Amino acid sequence: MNFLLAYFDPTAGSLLLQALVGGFGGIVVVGRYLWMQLRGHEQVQAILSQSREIPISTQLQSR
Amino acid sequence: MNFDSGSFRDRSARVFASGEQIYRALSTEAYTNWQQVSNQPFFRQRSLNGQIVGTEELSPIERQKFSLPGSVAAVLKHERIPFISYPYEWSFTMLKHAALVHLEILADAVSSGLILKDASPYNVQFRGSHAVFIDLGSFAPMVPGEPWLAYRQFCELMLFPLLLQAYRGVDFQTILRSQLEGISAHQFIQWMRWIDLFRPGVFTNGWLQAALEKKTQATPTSTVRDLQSSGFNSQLIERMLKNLKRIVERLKWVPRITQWTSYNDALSHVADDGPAKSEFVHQVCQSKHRRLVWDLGCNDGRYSKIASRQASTVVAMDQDHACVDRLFNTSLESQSNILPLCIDLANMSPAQGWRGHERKRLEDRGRPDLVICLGIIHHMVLAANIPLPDVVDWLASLGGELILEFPSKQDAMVRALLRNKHDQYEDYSLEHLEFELQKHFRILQRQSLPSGERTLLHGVPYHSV
Repeated sequence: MNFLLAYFDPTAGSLLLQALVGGFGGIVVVGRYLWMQLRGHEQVQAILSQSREIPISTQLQSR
Repeated sequence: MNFDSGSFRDRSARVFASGEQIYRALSTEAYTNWQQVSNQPFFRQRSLNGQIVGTEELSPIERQKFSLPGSVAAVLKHERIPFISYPYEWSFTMLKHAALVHLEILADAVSSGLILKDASPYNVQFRGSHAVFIDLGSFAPMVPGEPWLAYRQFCELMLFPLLLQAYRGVDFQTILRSQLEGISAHQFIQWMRWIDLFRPGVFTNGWLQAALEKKTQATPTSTVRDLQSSGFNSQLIERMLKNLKRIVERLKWVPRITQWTSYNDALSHVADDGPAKSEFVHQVCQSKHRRLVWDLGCNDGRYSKIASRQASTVVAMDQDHACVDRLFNTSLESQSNILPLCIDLANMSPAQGWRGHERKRLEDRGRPDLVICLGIIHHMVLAANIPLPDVVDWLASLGGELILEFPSKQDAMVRALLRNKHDQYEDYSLEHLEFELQKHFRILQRQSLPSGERTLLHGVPYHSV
């Protein structure tokens, strides 16, 4: 994927707004975006839930 | 060769001056962009009608006279703008014109598969009353699915200042002068009343943007990439540009009436002395052509207009925003060579930005050949409390000829200035003024005006006699 990077921070809010004010087509884009965010969040949660703490014997624990 | 100290933000297309000429050094990427944009019909058309700065590419042989870094792939030579001005010196209509020029050029660019990387009003300058887009390094190929990254910058530096002025009557110049990055969405909505949310542009561009910025502060992923993947397309940008243009076009600022906007022929001293002053200015101005004239305290610009007949450019300055806006609007009709600016002579635009090099102070942007200083010196000495020798010293430091009007202490306007003040101005007299002037100028002409309380003087610096 290609990017044109600005030399200033465009902020996520100002980018999202451009889709929000774009009528029906824009709402569809925002819907997909939110769905991706949700999926991304779920995936992160899933990875976190699969991780386990490595038991360390109390003798080895430093105080 | 040194790059312009204000052009460091975009390293791919830096500006430098050599002699009287202005050049732009392009990186390989910026050169590819230039080749693409310069072949577009919209670009050629807008360059022809003067909306985009006149530009030509130097041949490799011409480039050799500059010692440029190896990373420079090409050099462009730009038409010279007669006097550089900044948004914090413009009136409402000037900033509105700058915003519209930006939006129109961007809309053309988007329909040709290009975009503007930034949306700074500093990329627009005025050739007289004509707005000119100067930052050719800003054009870049549009990346499919990517939003307009400079939208926020457009809001902060152009849309919000215009909305503030139009809806709340807040003069934007002082804010833009101290906040070079502009007005944030959060700051903007603090100025708005709840009823203003129903006015065009405030809810979506202001309130919603501020709310979204707050909500998405902690977004860990790239919003640009996520929107690309979500199907964002250039039609959404085109629709937004149309909306923004409609909002800006409809904006109107109705200035409140000030003592300066009603400063006209109804006032006795203006009616009595006006014709003689006009004749005096006309005689001095017609004696030779001048490149740059400054008219200090220009008000309705009547003397700027006289001077403009025999000058390449007249910079007409006044601290009253309403006067400057009115003069710009009248100059628009005649496409004149008068550049009106909002300037407080007791607190002129300083050197600003990074290390004070990014924005130049007013006096460093072009020295006038002639300074017209009518009806202003009593305000500087008696109202702003600047010592008379200091005022004369500053006028002399500009290096040009001088037309100066001196009202005596018996003048009605001077008496009005002093009516509630302790008169500590013993040195305010014609004799003392001439004594100070003669340290720097040879006084070629002096003339008493019909009111009997005002004198006009024409001084020429000794170095140019």
